[in-house]
Amino acid sequence: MSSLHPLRLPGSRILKEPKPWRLWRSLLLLGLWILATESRASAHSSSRAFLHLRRTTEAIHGRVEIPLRDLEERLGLDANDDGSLTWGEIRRREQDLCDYVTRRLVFEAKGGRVPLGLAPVEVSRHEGEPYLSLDLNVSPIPQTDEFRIRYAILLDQDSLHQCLIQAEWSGETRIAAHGREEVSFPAVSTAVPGIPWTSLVTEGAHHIWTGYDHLLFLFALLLPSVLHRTRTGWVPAGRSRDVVREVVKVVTAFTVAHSITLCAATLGWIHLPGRFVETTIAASILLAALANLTGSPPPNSMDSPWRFNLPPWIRPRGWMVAFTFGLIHGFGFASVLETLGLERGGLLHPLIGFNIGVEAGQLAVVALFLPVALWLRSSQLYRTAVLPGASILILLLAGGWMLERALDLRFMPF
Amino acid sequence: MYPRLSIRVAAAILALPCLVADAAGTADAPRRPQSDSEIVAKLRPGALPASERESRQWRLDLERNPTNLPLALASARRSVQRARDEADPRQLGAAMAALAPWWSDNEPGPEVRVLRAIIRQSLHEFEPAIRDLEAAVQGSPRHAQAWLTLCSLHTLRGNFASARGAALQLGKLSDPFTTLAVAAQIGSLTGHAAQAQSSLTQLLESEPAGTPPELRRWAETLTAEIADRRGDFDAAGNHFRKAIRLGPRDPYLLATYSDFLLDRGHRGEVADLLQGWDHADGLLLRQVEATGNPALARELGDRLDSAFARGDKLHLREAARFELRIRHRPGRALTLALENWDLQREPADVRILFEAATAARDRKALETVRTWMESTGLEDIHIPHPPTQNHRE
Repeated sequence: MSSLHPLRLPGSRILKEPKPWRLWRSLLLLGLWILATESRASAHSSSRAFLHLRRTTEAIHGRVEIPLRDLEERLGLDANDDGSLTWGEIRRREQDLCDYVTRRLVFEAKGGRVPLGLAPVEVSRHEGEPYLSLDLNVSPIPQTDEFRIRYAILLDQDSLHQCLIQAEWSGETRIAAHGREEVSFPAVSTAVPGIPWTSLVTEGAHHIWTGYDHLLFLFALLLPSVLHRTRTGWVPAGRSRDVVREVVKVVTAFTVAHSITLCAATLGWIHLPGRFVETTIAASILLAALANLTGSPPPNSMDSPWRFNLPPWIRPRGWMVAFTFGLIHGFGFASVLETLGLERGGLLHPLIGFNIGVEAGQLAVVALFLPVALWLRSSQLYRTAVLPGASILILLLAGGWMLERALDLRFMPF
Repeated sequence: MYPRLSIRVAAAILALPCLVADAAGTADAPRRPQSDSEIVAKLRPGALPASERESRQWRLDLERNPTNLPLALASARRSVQRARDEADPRQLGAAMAALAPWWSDNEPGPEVRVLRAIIRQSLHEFEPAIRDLEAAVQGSPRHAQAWLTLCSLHTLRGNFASARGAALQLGKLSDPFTTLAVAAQIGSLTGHAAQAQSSLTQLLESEPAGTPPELRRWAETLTAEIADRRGDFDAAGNHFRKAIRLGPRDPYLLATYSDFLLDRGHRGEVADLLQGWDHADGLLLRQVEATGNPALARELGDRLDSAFARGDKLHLREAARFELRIRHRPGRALTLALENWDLQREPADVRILFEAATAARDRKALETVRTWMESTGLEDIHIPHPPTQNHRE
C-alpha cells in the first residue's frame, strides 16, 4: 500500500497540523465546494431557439421562436412578480420584445443590412417549454449569392444558448452559437434541380387534401351534381352517365382555370395580394354552398325551402362557377408552390409536377365522392338532409374563414 | 328501401365532417391567447428571490462593463451554485457568459482558471478542466479549491493515484473534516470500503462544531453510497435519510437516494421524493423507472434524443440507462455506456456498463468491467464479481 493512501491520512501529519479556522471559512465563503460530481443529476436541456426560413422570389419569410424563460430573465417580463407570466404581461412588453429581436437578429446580403419586419408576437411550445414566437419578413432581397445571418439573441447572457436555423430552400440546418454567431446560406435554392418529381406530385396531392378550402369548394360543387334543379326543387338526376359527364365538366373547368392562374402567378405575370386571394377563395366556397341552398329557378319562385333569391349570375351551370372561381384558387396554389422555394429559372418541371399532384388529389376526392353520391342520389334524405346539411356546414366554415382573412383575425379552429 | 337508405345517408353525413376534420390536422401552432389573464409560462413558485434579483442586476452591470473582473467572478460563482442546486445547465451558460472576456484566454488569473475548470467539469470537458486546474495549482499551490476540484476530477476519471496526490495537498490546506471525507471516498473506491465506511461514520458521530450542513450532507451521502455498495442497506438507508434531512433539494443526493430506493423496490417513495423535479432529466429518469408512466417516458425520450442530436455528452450515462431499462435496447445501451466509459468511471458508470454488457451478452465489455474491478479493488454488490461467472452464452 502506498504511503499516500488516503486512509492513512488521518494518522499523518495533516491531521496533526489543523489549519486555522480562518482559512476554512474563506474556503466555504467561496461557496463553490464541488463536494460531489454532479453529473448524475445533470439535467434539463440548455436553452434553444429556432429560426425557420422560407424564401420567395422577393422576400424571406420565417419564424423565430425563443424560450420565454430566458427572455424573462433578460427583460424582466413578470411585471407583478408573482412567478407566472401572463399573456397580458407579454403583450404590454411587445414593443420591447420586438426591439430586442430586431437589434439582435440581423440579415445581411451583399454586405448590407436587409430590413427585418416582425408580425405581432405569439406564444408556442417546444418540448413542453413555453416560447415566444415571431413571424418575420426580410425584404427586399438584393441579387446576391448568399445571405448572412448575425445572431446575437441571448448569447451574451447564456454562452450555451443555441439557435437552430433552418432554411427550407437549401434543405440545411445550421446552428448559431457562442463563437459562431454568423451563419450564411446560399441565396439561390440549391434544392431546385433536386426536387424530385415524386415529391412535387406528392406536394400537390397533399395540398388538395390538407388545403381544406379547395376540398370544400370541390365538395360544394359536387354535392348537387347528382341532382337536377326543377321548378319544384331538387330531383335525382336520371342516368349515371349524365351525372359523370356533369362531374367531369366541373372538375375539368376547375382544373383548366386554376392551371392558368397557377402558371401565370408562378411565372410572375400576375401578382395578387395574398390576403385578397385567400379571402376570395373563402368567398367562393361560401357562394358555392349558398347556391346549393337556393333550391329552384326561376328566381321569383317561392318554392325554395330557403327563400333565398340570388342574382342569376351565381346560379349558372356548375362548370362555369368552377371555372370562374378556379381562377382564384390557382393563385392559392401558386403561393404554396412559392413556399417550396423556387427560382424563376427552372420552373416548368415543378409547375407540371405540382399540377399533376393537384389533379391526382382532386381525382381521388371525386373517386371517393361520386360512387357514394350516385348510390344515395334517389333517397329523400340526400336532398333534404345531406345536401342542405353539408352546404350549411360548408357555408359556416367558409363564412368564418372569410371574416378571419378579410379582417386579419384568428378565431377559427383550423 | 328508405329506412336502409337513411342509414347510408346518416353514415355519409357522419363521414363528411370526419373527412374534413382529418384533413385539418392538429398542428400545435403559435397563437395569440384570447385573454390577457391567461398564464403562458410558470416561471417559479412565487416572487423573484432577492439573490436572483441581485444576479440580474449584476448581469445588467456586466453588460455595460463586461471586464469588471470581481463582478464577473461573483456573477459566475452565483450561477455555478444555481446550476448545481437546480440541476439547470442554463446557469452554466450564464456562468460562461459572465467569464466570456477571459474564456479563451490562455493565461487568465487563478480565480478565473478555477471557475472555468469547474464549469468545464460540469460540461464534462474533463481534460481541459484538469489542464486548467494543474496550471492553477502550479501558479498558486495554496489554492485549496483548485486542489479539491482536481481531486474530485481525478476520482471521477478513476485516476486514483493522482487523486490521492491532490488529496494530500488539500490536507495541508483544508479542514480535517473535508480532508478525511475526501480520503475516505478514494479509499472506498480502491479496495478499502469497510474502513472508509467506519471512519466516515466515526467522523460524523464526532462532528466538529460548526461544520456547515452542506458539508455534513455531502459526508452523509458519501457514507450512504459506500454502505450501499457494501450491501449494508440498513446503514445506507439511515445515512441517506439523515442527508435528506440536512437538505432535501440537492439533485445529486436525490438521484443517488432514488437509485437506492429503486434497487430496494420502494418505487412509491421515489415518486414522492422526486415530485416537482421533472425538469431535471436525470431525476425524470428515476421517476420514469419508479412509475412506468408512459407519457413521462416519451417526454424523457424526446429530451434525450434531442440532446444526443445536439452532440450533448452530458447525458450519456442517463441515456444508456434509459435505453436499457425503459426502451429495452441493450445494444444501443451498451454503445452509450462504452462512450460514457471513455469519459468517466464512477461506480455508477461501472454498473451501467456491466448491466448493458450483460444484457447485450458482450464478452469484451464484461471483460473491461472485470479488469477494472480487479485493478482498482472496487467493491459493489450490484456488480457481481467476477462478472464473467454470471454470464452464460
